[in-house]
Amino acid sequence: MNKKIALILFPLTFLLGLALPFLPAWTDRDDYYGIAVDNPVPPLELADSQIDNGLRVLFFGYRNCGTVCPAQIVNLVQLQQRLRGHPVEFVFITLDPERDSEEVLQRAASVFGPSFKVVRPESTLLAQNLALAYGDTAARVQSATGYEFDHTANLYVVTTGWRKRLIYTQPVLDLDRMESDLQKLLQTI
Amino acid sequence: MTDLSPHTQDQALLDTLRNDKQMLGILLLHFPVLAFIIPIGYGTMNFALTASLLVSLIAAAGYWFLRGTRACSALFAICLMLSSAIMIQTQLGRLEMHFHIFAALALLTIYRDWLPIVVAAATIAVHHVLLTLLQLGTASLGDMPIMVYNYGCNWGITFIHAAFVVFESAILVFFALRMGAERAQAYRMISIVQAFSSKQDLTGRLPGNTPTAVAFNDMLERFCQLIARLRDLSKQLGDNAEQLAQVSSNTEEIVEQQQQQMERAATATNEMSDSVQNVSCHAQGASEAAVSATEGADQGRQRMDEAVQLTEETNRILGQALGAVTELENKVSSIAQLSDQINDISDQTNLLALNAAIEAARAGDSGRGFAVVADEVRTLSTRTRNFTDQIRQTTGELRSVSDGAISAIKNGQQRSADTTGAVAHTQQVIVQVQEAIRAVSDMNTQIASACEEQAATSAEINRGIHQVVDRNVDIVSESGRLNTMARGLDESIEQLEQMIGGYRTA
Repeated sequence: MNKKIALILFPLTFLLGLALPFLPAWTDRDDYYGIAVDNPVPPLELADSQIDNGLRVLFFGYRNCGTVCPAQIVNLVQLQQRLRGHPVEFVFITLDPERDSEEVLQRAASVFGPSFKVVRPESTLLAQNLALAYGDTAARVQSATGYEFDHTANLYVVTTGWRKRLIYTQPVLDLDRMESDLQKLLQTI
Repeated sequence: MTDLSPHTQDQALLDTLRNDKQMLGILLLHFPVLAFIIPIGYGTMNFALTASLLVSLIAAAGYWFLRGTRACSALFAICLMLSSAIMIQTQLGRLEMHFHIFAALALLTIYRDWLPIVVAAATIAVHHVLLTLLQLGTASLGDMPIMVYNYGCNWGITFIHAAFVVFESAILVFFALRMGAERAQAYRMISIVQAFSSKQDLTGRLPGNTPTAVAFNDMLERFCQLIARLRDLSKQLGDNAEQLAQVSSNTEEIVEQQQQQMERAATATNEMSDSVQNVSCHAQGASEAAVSATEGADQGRQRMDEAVQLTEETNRILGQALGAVTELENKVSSIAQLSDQINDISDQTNLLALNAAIEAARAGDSGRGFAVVADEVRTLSTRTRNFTDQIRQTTGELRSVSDGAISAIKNGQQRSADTTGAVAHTQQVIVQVQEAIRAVSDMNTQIASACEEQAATSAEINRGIHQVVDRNVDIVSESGRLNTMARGLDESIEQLEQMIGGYRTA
């Protein structure tokens, strides 16, 4: 009896373990490609914002990042092009205010496009806290050549009312689906 | 744990059941945290709720069907690791959520068993490796991305994490094994103590030479020695009690015999007392009798004196009688002489008559008248002769009679003389008798007074004997008490032996 039960329970648990990564796909069956949430987030000071009622796609990164950041920035740039005319802004928040000066950031923003905004917290610590408030983590890691950040590098879609609505956790994105996510979300606000 | 008693196995099972229950509680407590708290700010509640509910259900089922078995602990270990995975996944791979893995691994030491820790470590390792593979392959399954770590994902990080998991698991396994060994020792200890309390078995020993085992075994050893010593003492005590009982019953027996003898002695002294009294009385009587015997002897002496006088008188009379008889004999002799002379005359007469007859015959008728006278004369002489013969005969007889009388008188005189001697002797004897009687009388008096003293002493002895008898009764009762005590001691010893007899010490 017990052996039979064990023979059933153990494989079942094993299967559950295997299924865990796939479970969200089943539990969060909404129409969005990204992870749909609705949480308040701390507002950012965006001096040159041009939208009153729309969406902002946020990304925490740093200029010296050689791995995930460029990929995400490419994603953002492409999205910007796709969503031209829509009330959507793209915000790059630097995690490394020590090396990313305001000038450098502004220059980059102007290169990426008109709806590309930058935020530079006053210190790395403030930047990390801000990232954490959005659900993003950023750990400063010392390396032989200087220092790097181990960071989440998610994309967060927030409303102009500072509510977090969508999360994209991978740098490899299906931009079509993300675009349609944003279109759809725009209609709801 | 096969060397444990059933009771201790029960105890082990109870412990395992308690552990399972606690672990189930912990797992179920994970549910609200995982489902409602962890997702806050991440919007992953649906997933967290579903996944933690499934894990809780599996845990509950595991507890329901497998509790008390190692399989249950292994299942719980997997469930805990799945909870860790859910936690990490709910917060989209947040680094801090990984801490749960280490906390959860530590929790598993509750089982004091390497298996759940190893199973948990293996589970989380497989899970991480798998998810690292998926994340590195940027596999997106469904709409949800897969995240092991929410920052850079690479094998280096996986390796560091794995190293820490292995490190912690190794430490925990070490602790679990040590705690398990300690628990096993505790179980053995309990088993030994239970064997002691239920079966009075003290033969059990803890294996190994840890200080605890050594101390415990030493204690048991001392206990065994104590019991052995107690057993010896009890045996000695038993022997002593037996001897005591023996001595007491011997005493009782002896005292009883003594009692009987004393009673006999008491009776004997009583009798003796009586006898002495009698003797005293008799001695008194004898003394009195002796006095009267002395009087009798005195009278006897007087009588003897009288007898002597009488005898002397008789002697004198006998002397006179002898003279008379002698005179008579002399007269008889003269008669005999006369009678002989008459006889001679008669013979001559006869001869003359005969001659006259002859002559008458010759004278013829003239002579006839003479012849008749001659014949008459002869007849007369014949008759005279006959008379003298008769006289001679009578005197002869007289002589013989007087001779007899003389001899009788002489005899009488002799006798009388003898009697006088005898009487004198008797007198002497009587005097001696009198002296003897006096001595006897004196002695009797002494005897009587001695008897009095003896009677008093005997009464004293009797009293003493009675006292001894009384004391003997005391001794008998004391001896009885002693016996009772010995028996009580025996019972106590028996109880003691029953108490310690059951202990198996070797």
